[in-house]
Formats: sequence, structure tokens, C-alpha cells
Amino acid sequence: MLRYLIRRVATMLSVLIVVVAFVFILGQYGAGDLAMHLTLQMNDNMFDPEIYNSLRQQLHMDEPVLKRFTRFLGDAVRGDFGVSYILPGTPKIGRMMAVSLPISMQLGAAAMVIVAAVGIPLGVLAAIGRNNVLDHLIVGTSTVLSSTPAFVLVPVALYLLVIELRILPTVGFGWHGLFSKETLLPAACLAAGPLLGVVRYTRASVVDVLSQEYVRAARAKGLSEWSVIGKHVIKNAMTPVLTVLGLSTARVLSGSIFIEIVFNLRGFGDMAVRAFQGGDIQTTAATTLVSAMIVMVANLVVDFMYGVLDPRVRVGQ
Amino acid sequence: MAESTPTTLTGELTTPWRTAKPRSLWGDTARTFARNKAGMAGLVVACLVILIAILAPWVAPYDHLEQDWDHLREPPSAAHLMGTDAVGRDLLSRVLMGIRTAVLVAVIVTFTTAVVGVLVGAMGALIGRWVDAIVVWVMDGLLNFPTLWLAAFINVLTRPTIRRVARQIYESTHWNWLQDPVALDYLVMFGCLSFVWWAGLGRLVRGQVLSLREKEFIEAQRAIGASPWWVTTRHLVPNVLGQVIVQMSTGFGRAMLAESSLSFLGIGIRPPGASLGKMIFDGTATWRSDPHLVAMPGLTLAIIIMSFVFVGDALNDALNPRVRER
Amino acid sequence: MANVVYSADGPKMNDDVLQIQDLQTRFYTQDGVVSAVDGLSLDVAAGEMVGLVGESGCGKSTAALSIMRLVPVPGRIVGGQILLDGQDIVPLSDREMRGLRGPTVAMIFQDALAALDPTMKVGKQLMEPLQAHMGMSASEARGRTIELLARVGIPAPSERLDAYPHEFSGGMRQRVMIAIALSCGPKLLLADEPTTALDVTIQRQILDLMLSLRDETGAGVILITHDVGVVAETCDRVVVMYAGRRVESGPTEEVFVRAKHPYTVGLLSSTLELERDKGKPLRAIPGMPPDLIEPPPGCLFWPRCLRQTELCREQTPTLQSVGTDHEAACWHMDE
Repeated sequence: MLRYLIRRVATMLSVLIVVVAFVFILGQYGAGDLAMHLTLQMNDNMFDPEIYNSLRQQLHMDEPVLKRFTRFLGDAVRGDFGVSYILPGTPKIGRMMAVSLPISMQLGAAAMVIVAAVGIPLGVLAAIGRNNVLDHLIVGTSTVLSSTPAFVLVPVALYLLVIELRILPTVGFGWHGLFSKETLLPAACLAAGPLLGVVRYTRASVVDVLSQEYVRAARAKGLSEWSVIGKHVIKNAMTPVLTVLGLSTARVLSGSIFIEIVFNLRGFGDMAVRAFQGGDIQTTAATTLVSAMIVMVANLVVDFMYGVLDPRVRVGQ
Repeated sequence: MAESTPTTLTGELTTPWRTAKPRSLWGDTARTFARNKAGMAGLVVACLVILIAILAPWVAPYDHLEQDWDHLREPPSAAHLMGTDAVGRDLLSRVLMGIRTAVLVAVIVTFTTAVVGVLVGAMGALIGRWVDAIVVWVMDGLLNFPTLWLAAFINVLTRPTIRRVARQIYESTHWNWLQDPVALDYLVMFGCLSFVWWAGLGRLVRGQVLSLREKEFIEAQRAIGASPWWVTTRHLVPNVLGQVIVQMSTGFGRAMLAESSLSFLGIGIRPPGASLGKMIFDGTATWRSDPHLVAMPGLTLAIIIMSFVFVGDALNDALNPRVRER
Repeated sequence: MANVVYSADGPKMNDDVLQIQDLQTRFYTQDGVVSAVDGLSLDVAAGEMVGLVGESGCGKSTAALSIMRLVPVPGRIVGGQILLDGQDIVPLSDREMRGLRGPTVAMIFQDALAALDPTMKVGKQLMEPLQAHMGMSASEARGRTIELLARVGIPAPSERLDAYPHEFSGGMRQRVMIAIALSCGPKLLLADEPTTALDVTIQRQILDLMLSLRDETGAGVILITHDVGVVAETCDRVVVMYAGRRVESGPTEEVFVRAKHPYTVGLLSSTLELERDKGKPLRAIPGMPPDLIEPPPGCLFWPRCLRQTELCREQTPTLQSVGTDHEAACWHMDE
């Protein structure tokens, strides 16, 4: 098991290099002469040699590429992502992230919990039903919820819940902590996106497992249907579900951008959007890199869970 | 009775009263697809959407840029089926134009993604060795980025470059469209969205080609001397094509969503270009008082995306049948 | 073996653990209604090993699943009786049937790798029926499991308990399947192609194991196979199925030496025995097995039959006695 984990981590690290390389190449060279570009941005589109040269120095642009890359990599690992040249006061990006990330992490975690806690049971129920009314209802509702973009779902949900149905008294904007009641709606809206994927994968996986010979053999032993499902089906069906949960991380990350904007939560996504809108390359590069790293860690966790659930994986297919 | 070919008492061998109907792959696919009600409904909507995209400027009741200050922020009525926005523009016309925008982006992006993905994926699988290793490396790397983030990143990066390059080309060619900021917005969109999605398809195609390459029937074909070209077109292509079509169908809806999302954030298609995303953004500010400003473009977008999801699902079911019940 | 008076109708001896009468099992598919089992009748006595032979798709597996009441959707038993130890199980509720699976009737599946849960330890899978049906505690079940594993010939059983199915060889896995099937002491064993997926040498071992277990427990066994050689070596009686119907049956030697139905004849002549058939050409039965969607009247074998006449197409042949305990269904048996 340990060997398996080490192998996975090693793979992840090698992919990490590629990811960092991507961001590095794009960020440093994507806009042409980076120092020039920044100079023009900072100085109202007018060239100023002083600013230009100082930028060149700060960005180590005279160093050979490989040295720049290793510096970039080393800095990133230590959490130093440079500074934002667009925002007033050229704040350190690392520090900004340290403030905004925790909010997004908590929001994302809450959303993932909702996705798993709602999506998996629904998927199992739909699979057991297999084309009955409940099945169609579950899949249909999930499709509707997931196809609606987050930025549409939120206002519509708000309108329905607050104005029409008066379920919620009012809406709290801003972050009040993970376990406050104001977090429920944003987390739920964020969960709506990946929901369909999880429901569908769970359903497909359970349907597939139900058709397996060992399920029939278990029934042949005279076990009750619920016993069969609980002891044999669920465990075997979970592996693809884990995959999709891992994939959902990316979806949750992307969705959090919109949720944070609409609910006025100063999280990671919100920070990124300001960078997008302001054309802030440094911050954008840093946030993109970190978001990719989050996805990779999530996948690593998923791989770990595979090892726990399916003993065949530990041996290596 | 003869020793070699057995014959009956009456002298000829008969066949069973019923043999399985010969079925072509595509005929079977179409039939299974037609049975899927959601898929058919989705297909109808999708066709409608494409039609609107082409005919929008002629079908729209009003000019989508025309501002009527006597009718600001009106809810849906007979005169304005979807109401009017904050500066008196007819929402229905704007939505129709917005659909056009989204479809245009989706068509270009889906096509580009498919071409690049298939080429790179197949190339990696067929050429192998270090070329394949690089391809896999690149694709795996790309796939670790949340797509929207990466798209936005590319967007932010390429915008100034494209503007600069457009200006340079304009100086030598004087093509007017290069001066149009909306056109440039489109170019940036095409670039960043295509960049982000080709890897997914590429990996799928590579996987398919690899597994098909190993499959015994390819060996068997080679053993009887069929040329590699024939092998490719008659066997590899139909198998891979199925997957590609499904991906393109879901990718279409996804591209429309991405266009709206980026425009919502302000980095997509910007005014005077019409985008559903931007409309929704504008409407979000007044969600309490004028819900129609969000609901109309929002629900339209949701319905369109849902339709493509249904179509993609139905296609998937039709092309990759699960174990048929005996 | 007890005296079993075998006739197409009339009372049977109470030694029968299984009596199937006119079983009809159909599958309601998108393409039509498939009559997988179309009026099958057969009996199995205690301690008797009955071979059920036929080509793929002839309905033998479906018949076995029907006995277990495990016919998968969209299939259903639509007619007939299945008397298990005297009790008709067709009208039983699922709950009642569950009580019978394991203690009364058990099944050995063809592919042991597919029939074992890959993520559960083998010991645990063996203990499940013991705990469910025999009310054993975990430690009692564990002890019994070790005994069972030893009985089926698995070395170091107390260690192998904690292994996973993929850690066993094919033959060992099949032994585990047999152990599971026998664990609650069933009166009827259904073995669905238990040796088809195994090497020839292992086949031998598994068949010997099954024979000795049969002798020990006195259970009736239905051995489903398409390999007539296996039947010849191990079975007391043989039932030949075609297109969901029984076309011939009787004591093994009798049927094999004096085969009456053209299908049986074809089946036997398409296998070779080294000594007997040197120099003879291998004969295949021409044609394909029929599509079982709404079968027409008449003999279902007639398109491939060398003795076919108009009569065959119009009237379904009934089973007639052609020897001691030997029945066959054909209009042209003496040609």
C-alpha cells in the first residue's frame, strides 16, 4: 500500500513540473516582452525606461530560461508567487492567497460534502429503480440543476426562496464562517454543478455492478437484496464514483468563482476574477497554478481511496 | 447421404425460418437515438438554436441595440415578449443575438478542438515512442487545470498580444474588421477555449487508437495482407468517430456555457457584442426588482445547454450500447 | 440409486429432489418475446448426477436460473411447476425463496473469477451463507469455513481465508465456489459449466471432487455443459436440450450408444474419441441455432435436420419412450 502511494506521489510530482512549466512559459512569455507589457500597463500605455529596467531586474529577465524556471519553481513551492503590479501597493500575491484561499477551501469542502451526501444515495436509488419513475425523476432533476449555470442558478434560487416561497428570511452576503447558516445557500448552489455527474456515475456504476456475476452469485446464496447491495454492490461501485468526485474538484473550483462574486465572498475565486478583469498577469498566473495544484492534490486523494477500496489496485494492474 | 455436404431427404438444406436482421452501425444508432425521448427533444431545440443563430438579425422583432427610453425595465408583455432592459432594449432581440454569439463561438471552438484533439491523439498513438511520450505529458499537464481558470489565464495573456498583432496586420492589409473590438474579442475566445479542451478529446482518441491497434482483429487484418490505410479507414475511424461525435455534442453545450461564463466575468464578448453572459451579469444587480432581466437570458441559456446534454447522452447511449438485455 | 419410474406424466417417486413440469421462461425484450425455456420437464433424484447438454443459447442456463428463481429482468417464469423437494417454488415470494437458496438448492457458477466479489476476502464470502442461514456466529462460521475449504482440497485453509479471489488460481477458485455451494448442505446442486473455463487436467480434478462430494452428501446434481465427453464420464443420466425444449433423455450410456434424436446424433458425431473415430471426418451440424422469438409450431430442429419432412414443420414432436427410461421427441426416429 505504501509502495502504491509513493508511486502515485512520484507521478504527481512529475506532472507538477509540467504544470508549472506551462504556467511559467505562458506567464513569462505569453504576452511578449513581459517587462514591456507591464510597463505599458502601469504607465498609461507610455514607455518609461526606468520602470522598464527595474521590472526587468525584478523579473530576472536577463537570466537564462532554465535558471528562471528553477527559481520560479522554488519560489512557488515556498509560497512566493511574486507581486501584483496592477493592484495598488504591489501586494504580495502569496499573502493575498493566504487570506482568500481558506474561505474558498471551506466553501468548496462544504459543497463537496453536499455533492457526495446527496448525489451518491440518489444515484444508488436511481440505479436500483432502473427506469422507473424515481429513476427518471432523479436524473431529470439533476440534469436541470447541473445544466443551469451557477450564475443563473443563484439569482433564480434566491428569487424563488426569498421572494416567492419566503423560505429564507433574507440573504446574508459575505463570509460568516463555515458553519454559519449563510454558508448553506452558496455551498448548495456550488454543489448543484457537479451533482449530475456524481448521480450519473453512481447510477451507471451501480447498474453495472448489479449486472455482475458475483451479485447474482450473492443472491444465489440466499442473501437479502439490501444485504447484497450493502455488502457487495456499494463497495464495488464506489471506484468510478471516486473518480468523478475527484473530477468534480475542478468543477467546484471553477464554480466557486461565480458563487463568490454573487454572494460577495472574498475568496480565492473572487481574487482571481479581479485579476482577470484587470489584466493582471502575475496574479492570474499564480491563481491558475494554485488551482491546478489543488486539482492534483484532489486526484491524489482519490488515488489513495482507490487503494483502500480495491485491493487489486494495490498490486498494480 | 453424401459424405461431404449433408443434404436432406428432399435434397436441399433449408435455413431457419428467421435469421437476425442485418443492421448497419449507423442505422442502428439512429434508431436507438430516436427512441430516446429526451434526446429527440434536445435535438429539436438544438436545431432551433442553430436556426436562430443563423437567422437572428432577421427574426428579431427589434434591433438589439435600439434603445427605447420610454420603456425601461419592463417585464414581459405583448410588445416585448421578454421585456426590456435597463436602457430600453428589447430583451428578446438581445437574447436572440446572444444565442448567435454563443453558437458562433461553440461551432468554431468545437470544430477546432476536435481537429486538434484527434490529430494529436492519433499521432501520439500511431507514431509512438518519444512523440507519444511528449503528447501524453502535455495532455496530462493540461488536464490538471480547471478549464475555466486556464481559459481565463490564456484570455488575459493573449488579449494584448492579439490586439497588437491585429494592429500590425491592419497596417499592412487595411481589413476593417481588424479594428472591430468585438471581432478581436471573438478571436481571443476562440483561442483560449480551444486551447483548453483539445487535451480531453486527445486523450480519449489516443486511448481508443491504442486499444484498437492492439485488438486482435487488426492483427488478423494485417495477417491477410490488408494495407494499413485500409485498416485505418475501415476500422479505426468508425470506432473512434463515435466517441468524437459524442464529445463534440456535449462540447458544444459546454462551449456555449464557457462563452457565457467568460462574458459574465467581463473578459469574453463585450459590448457592443451581444452575449447572454453579459446580459445575465447586468441583470444580477437588480435580481429583486426585475427578475426577468436574469431569468430570460438565464433560463434560455440553461434550456439550450440542457438540450445539448440530452442529445449528447442519447448519442452516447446509441453509439456505445450497454449490455443489451437478452 | 433408487428406483425412479420415469414417465412423461403421472406420479413420480418421492426420491426426487427436483421435478420440473412444463417450465416456460420468457424474456420480454425490445426485439420481441424470447421463449428461452419452452415446456421443459425433467426430474432429478437424490444422489443422481444428471447432465444437461445443448449448445449455447438452448436454454440450459436459463433453466438453472429458473430453478434458483434468479432469472434476470426482462425474463420471467410464465408457466409450469418446479417442485423442489416436493414444494412448488414458482409461486413463492422472494423472501421465502431466499430461505431455500443455500440450504435446499445451490449453484456453482461457470466463471469463478466473475462470481466472486473481487473486493471481499474469500473467507468472508464463504461465511456469509453460514451466518445468514445456519445462524452461526462469526467464530463458528470461521471454523466451519476452514473445514469446508479443506474438504474441497484447498491447502492451508486457515491462511487462505484472508486472501482475495484474484490471489487464487483458476482451479482453486472453482473449489471455493464448490465450497460456497455446499456450505449449507443443499439437496440439489446446479453446476453451470463448472469446468469449461479450466485446463483439462484441472477439469479432471474438479469433476472427481464433485463426484466424491455427491457421494458424501447424497445431493442431486445437475451438471450443465456443452461437453458431451464430461457427461459421458460423470453423469448417471443425460438430458439433451434444444431451443428451450427437452429433445432426448435417459441413462447416459443408453442415450449415447442408442441416440435417437437427430440432434443428439449430430452432437455425438461432432466430437471425436481418439480410438473409436480414427479416420472419420469431423461432422458439424449445419446451420445455426434458431432465433427463439415467438417460435413457430413444429419441430424447432427441422431446418438443420437431415430427416426433415413436412410433418416436422407442422407438428411439434412429443416425447416418446424409446427404451428403458429413454425418451426422445422426433417423428423420424427409426431412420
